[in-house]
Amino acid sequence: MGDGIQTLHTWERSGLLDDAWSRREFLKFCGRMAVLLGLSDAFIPRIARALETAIQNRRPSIVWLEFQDCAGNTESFTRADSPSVAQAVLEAVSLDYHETLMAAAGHRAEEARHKALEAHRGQVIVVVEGSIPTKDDGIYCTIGGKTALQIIREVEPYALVFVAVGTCAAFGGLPKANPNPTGAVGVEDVVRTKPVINLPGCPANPDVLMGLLVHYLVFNRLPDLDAQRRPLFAFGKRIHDTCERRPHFDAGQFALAFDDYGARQGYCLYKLGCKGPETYNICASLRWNMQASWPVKAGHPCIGCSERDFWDRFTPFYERLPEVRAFGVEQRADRLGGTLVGVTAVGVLAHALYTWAVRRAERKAEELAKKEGEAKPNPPEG
Amino acid sequence: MAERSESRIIYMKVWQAPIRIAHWLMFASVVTLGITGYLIGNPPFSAPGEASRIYTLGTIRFLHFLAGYVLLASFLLRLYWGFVGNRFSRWATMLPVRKWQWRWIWGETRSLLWPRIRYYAYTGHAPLGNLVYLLVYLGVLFSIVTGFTLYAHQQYTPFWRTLGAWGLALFGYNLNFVHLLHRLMLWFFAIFLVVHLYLVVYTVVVTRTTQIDTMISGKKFVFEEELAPEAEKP
Ligand code: HEM
Ligand code: HEM
Ligand code: SF4
Repeated sequence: MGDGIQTLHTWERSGLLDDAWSRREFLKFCGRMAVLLGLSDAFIPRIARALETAIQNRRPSIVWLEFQDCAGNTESFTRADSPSVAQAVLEAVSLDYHETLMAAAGHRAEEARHKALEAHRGQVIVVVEGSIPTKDDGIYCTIGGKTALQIIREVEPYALVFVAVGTCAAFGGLPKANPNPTGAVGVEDVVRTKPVINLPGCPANPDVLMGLLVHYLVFNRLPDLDAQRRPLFAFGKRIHDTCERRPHFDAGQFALAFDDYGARQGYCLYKLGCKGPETYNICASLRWNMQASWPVKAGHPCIGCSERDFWDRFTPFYERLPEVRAFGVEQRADRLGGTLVGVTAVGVLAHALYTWAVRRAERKAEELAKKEGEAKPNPPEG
Repeated sequence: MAERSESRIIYMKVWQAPIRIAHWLMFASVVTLGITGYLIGNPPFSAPGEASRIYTLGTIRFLHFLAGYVLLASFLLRLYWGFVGNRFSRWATMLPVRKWQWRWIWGETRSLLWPRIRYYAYTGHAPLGNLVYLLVYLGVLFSIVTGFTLYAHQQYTPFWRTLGAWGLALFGYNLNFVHLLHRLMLWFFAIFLVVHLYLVVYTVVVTRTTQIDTMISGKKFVFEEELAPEAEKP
């Protein structure tokens, strides 16, 4: 690790970071990145060196665009209570444009973006937060007189890659939820000529964004993605398969209310509507807020915020399955099914009784006809 | 009702072994899948104790997946036999693509709705049954597709990952929606089972043919005069 220690001394001297972030914190951060990417500790010095080089050269340039969003990803990234190493590193690398974080405003901000783009043509990492409205020529989100769509088109030639952070940028998210008044779509639906990487989540985990950056800096290529353009290192497994409550699921031990015995015992939250079985994300291993906790650990079922259309498909959040619209009302699938089975059974029974009654009447009539036939000397011709 | 002379009895082989095997495997697996599936989606138990010693839901899920493979096998067997089997089991005869088939279907439906109209027996499937069975096989296929999509997302090998991605793409990239569709199939089969059992028994009683025995032994026993005019005779 001699090499790494050398690097770390440079790091300290660089003075790029606040005193609060010691060499030790930085080393820990590099270690965490190595674990996140599934690398051995031999990579820690390499990661440290790559970051340091990036900081010295102030590249790659990062431009952070915000469209139809709540700034929740930015918020998560800056962690209002204690700025993270991740944020510090990102800013140090070269966050050239970020509406919420940058000091400049108005024309000067726009100028900063142009300068960054021109200086790094084809090399800019464009981070997008928020969805892009497409209805009515996209007028529902404009910045400096340009629509989100126009801004994307303008930036596209300069980009190396688009990174959609948060479910809104990745899949359209909340703005896209039914009835989608603005015709919102995700970045992947409008970017045509450059690769798009999705980091969904509400918000996306900041460490995952850093992992992506580190992967690029260390290996000079983008990480492997799944079919929905999510990096496998973070979205390779379902929450359910990494969850610490999973043994209780397999045992069949469930919390049935938020304050019952099962909840206190840390039982599985499946029956409270947990969407862990349907959600790919890294929350259970990486956790949040300095790795302190994550929703299921804190006792709340996963709502599947990083999945496509979660607002339409995963609600009600405290039910396992969405309701079904049938006969003009929303109902639970089992209620609907059970009712239909009941109706069928009644129908079948009615049919049986009806057939029986008809046949009996026919038999009676036949017998009657027979008797009458016996009484008369001349039976009717057949 | 017409006088029954009970003149001629037809006793003939109808269902070949693969059809019967596929049917009863399908019956066993669908019932198992329905019960275990219901319990997976809505487990009514929650026993206290050390989780490492208990594996209740794990066992139920295992049985579900096992039965899922059995259903797949029986479906493939039936699918294959529809191309090489006898005339009663061929897809070519079962698919209602000709106009007269629809006329027969309507005819049978009418006699079910108005019991005064004579209800006939058939050597193979009754026309309406034919249609419903095709629908049921589509239902089986749908359950298999959704079921194996869910299953694929619990495995992490390249094969299952690819399969899972394909399956998910079919249903709008939301796994919870696949769960919902898969669960609704439980009720599809429950409704079918009620109607199926009733009509099988109804046919036995009303037309005095064998049905359940036929699905077991393959041979059908039927009075010629009970046969529909259009029914195939030996
Ligand atoms: C007649 C056929 C079937 C029926 C009625 C059935 C029924 C069900 C039901 C009711 C559920 C619970 C759904 C929920 O509430 O989330 C379920 C889950 C599941 N089924 Fe099926 N199923 C059938 C066939 C299959 C097949 C062929 C497979 C393939 C292996 C399969 C694999 C699964 C899987 C993987 C789950 C999810 C289990 C989990 O969440 O851990 N099913 N099934
Ligand atoms: C969920 C369970 C069941 C399913 C999904 C099912 C499905 C089917 C299907 C698809 C056929 C058509 C056979 C073919 O041509 O391939 C069939 C026929 C038949 N099934 Fe079932 N079945 C079930 C349960 C039962 C049970 C419990 C019985 C008897 C007690 C039964 C008795 C029969 C008989 C007698 C036939 C022949 C009907 C005819 O001649 O048209 N089935 N069933
Ligand atoms: S709490 Fe949720 S993610 Fe964890 S085991 Fe239960 S259902 Fe799965």
